[in-house]
Amino acid sequence: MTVSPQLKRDLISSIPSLRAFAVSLCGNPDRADDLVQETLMKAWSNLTSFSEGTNLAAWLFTILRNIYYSEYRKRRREVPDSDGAIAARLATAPAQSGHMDFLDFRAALQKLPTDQREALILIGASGLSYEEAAGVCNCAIGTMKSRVNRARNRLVELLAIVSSSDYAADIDWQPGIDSLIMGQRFSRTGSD
Amino acid sequence: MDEPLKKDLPPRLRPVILRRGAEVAFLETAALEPSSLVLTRSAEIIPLGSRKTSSPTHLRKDHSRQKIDDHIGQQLQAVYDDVVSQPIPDRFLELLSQLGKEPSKEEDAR
Repeated sequence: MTVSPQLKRDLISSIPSLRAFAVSLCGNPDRADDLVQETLMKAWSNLTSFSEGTNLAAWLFTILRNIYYSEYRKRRREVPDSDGAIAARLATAPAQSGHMDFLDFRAALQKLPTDQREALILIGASGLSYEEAAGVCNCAIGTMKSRVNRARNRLVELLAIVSSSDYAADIDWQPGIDSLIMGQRFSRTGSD
Repeated sequence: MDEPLKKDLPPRLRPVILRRGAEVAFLETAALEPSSLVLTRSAEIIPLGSRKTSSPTHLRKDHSRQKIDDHIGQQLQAVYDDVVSQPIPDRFLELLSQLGKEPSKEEDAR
């Protein structure tokens, strides 16, 4: 099979976003790169089914996501190591505010249900349109929108909890946080 | 609303902090609206309406939600771009040039 030099260049230039999507999906950089590797191999052998002129990144995301979920189904009983690793770092990390914020956010992101996390990443970071993202996740555009909204609401709850445990030292009593509070409040307010 | 809050907070009033260094807002689970109170760093409890400082970091419904969404958007982009900006690992470039040399088996099978 001859792959046009242009398509090969496009493939290469899609790798960075493919890796970013993979990391956000599985939460583990090493495993993410294995996913990317598999994706590239699979994409290469199926290049004839890619219609040139459409979004190559979206096509690759779709392949990567399918690999991830079929693997995930096999490994269902494994706990994703990202949660534990990040939580452990959080628990012992010194209070370096800027860096902590970053870790807090990543940890919170990994706590989202996968369908919400991928929706948020595809829409909020990868630059895909709702239509393209819905194509990647094989769902309706409306479903994609509601996943993004639920992801944002859930993140607000999670970030509130993480920050409050940092802050507790300053205000000399341990606040009892009810994670539902923020969700309830903001889902009532709920507008974008 | 004008009366400062008594020390004994109703059990349903729980502090919720939006980000480090921000004031604590109390949201009442049972009520439809959050009670508009601010706890300062010195643990002084002030009803929002009577705040005298000029830095309005307190919770305002739509305004604060917009800020939170912006904050989430920025963080999200930062996490994503952190990976995007990394150089492409050699293994992928090698893989692609390897694939370019070998005829694809799947392709032959078609």
